[in-house]
Amino acid sequence: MVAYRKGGRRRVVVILLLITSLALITLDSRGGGGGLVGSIRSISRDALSPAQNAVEDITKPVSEWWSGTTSAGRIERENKRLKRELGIARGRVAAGRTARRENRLLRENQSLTFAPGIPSVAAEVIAASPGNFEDTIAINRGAKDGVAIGMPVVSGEGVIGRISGVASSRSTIRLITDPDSGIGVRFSITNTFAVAQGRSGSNLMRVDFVAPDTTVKKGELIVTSGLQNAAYPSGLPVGKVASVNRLAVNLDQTIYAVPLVDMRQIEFVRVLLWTGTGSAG
Amino acid sequence: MDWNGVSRVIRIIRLALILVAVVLLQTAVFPHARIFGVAPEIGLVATVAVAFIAGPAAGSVFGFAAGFSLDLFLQTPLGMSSFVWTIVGYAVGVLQGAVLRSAWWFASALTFVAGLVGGTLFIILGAIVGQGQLWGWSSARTVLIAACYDALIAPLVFPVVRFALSDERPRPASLSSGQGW
Repeated sequence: MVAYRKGGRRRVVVILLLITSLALITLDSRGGGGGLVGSIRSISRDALSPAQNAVEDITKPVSEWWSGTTSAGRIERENKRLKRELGIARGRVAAGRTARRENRLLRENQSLTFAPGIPSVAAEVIAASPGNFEDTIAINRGAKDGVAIGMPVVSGEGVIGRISGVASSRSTIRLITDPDSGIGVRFSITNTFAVAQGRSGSNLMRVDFVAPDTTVKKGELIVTSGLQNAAYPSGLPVGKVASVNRLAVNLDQTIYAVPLVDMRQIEFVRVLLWTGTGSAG
Repeated sequence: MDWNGVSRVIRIIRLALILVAVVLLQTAVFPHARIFGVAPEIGLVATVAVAFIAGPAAGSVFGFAAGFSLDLFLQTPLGMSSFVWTIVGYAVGVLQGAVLRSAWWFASALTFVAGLVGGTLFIILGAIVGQGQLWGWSSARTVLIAACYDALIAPLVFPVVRFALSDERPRPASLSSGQGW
């Protein structure tokens, strides 16, 4: 009888815990990352931040060794590729100088500087995603630096993502390669609009909703669309078209783009203090 | 407070310290110690260990606490990990009651299976609550690698949890560690 009662009490505890979890999921989903749940997240991240930084500093040498060990094959391949590319690049340096000068003059002429007139905050990447099902990074700037949820984040080469969580001195960025991340884009040559979507476990983005009559070429640059209610300012570089496959049976195209920024190598970023009015990319 | 109460409080404090250590390791160390881009879920491993050593009640409560703590640092809805790990903790605790003796590899095997089940539940729950991006073959690959990684670190985590749950009361050698906290 006692054992039966104990088993019954255990089941009640488990059911209560599961109901609490479901209530939390509902609260968080309805609150859109803000509200009570957002505050709890923000407070707990702030509270644990010093300890996290300390642990990261202490374990950094081991982490770097591990990273080097597990990436040895990739580094070797990358080294070969870089050597090959270096040879090609040297040959292009002379032409590049002329192109850069022309580029600078054109930009000065047309005021086409990168994110012109938008105030920004520089930040350092301090942590990678703790989870396996998301592409996020953490930076050392937060609400007290003017950072808010939804703000675009760029590095020298282009867009890397948007702020998805803010504590007072720490923020989380959802990278454009995250499967839950969609960004409104425009092809630089054809000026056609599309949506670039992150893919789980891949560095490539899938570009959808491309007009069937659009001819997209490999290597074409894609930039943020800046359409009404867009979450990013217009014209920020996003990536380059990596592959285009047109199906024979219909006019559908399967387009993949590679981000201009290597998300594994990001160290410093700039948060654009810009809040769009919409939530769609 | 009698000795039983003191011993219980000591065990709870030890488990709380393990919880803090789990969160710190998961958020500050393991993101840099990935294998094929996948980090282990040390919170799940600790949940399996607690459930296996102390039973379903302790397993489910620890699973809830560990999942909730980790959820605070993830972008997926708060409550997803706690929901899944509560179930895993309870299930492992119930299973533990049926195991009389276990071989040295049992911790790893159990953690591997728990990792597979937990990961799969997480994806299914995600798809139900609007995290459709989790649904796909790449997530299945992630779950498989994470389960292997979890199995690998399980022999390191189990002794720590076993120590945290050890009862220091002087008692006859014939008594087992018993159920609960």
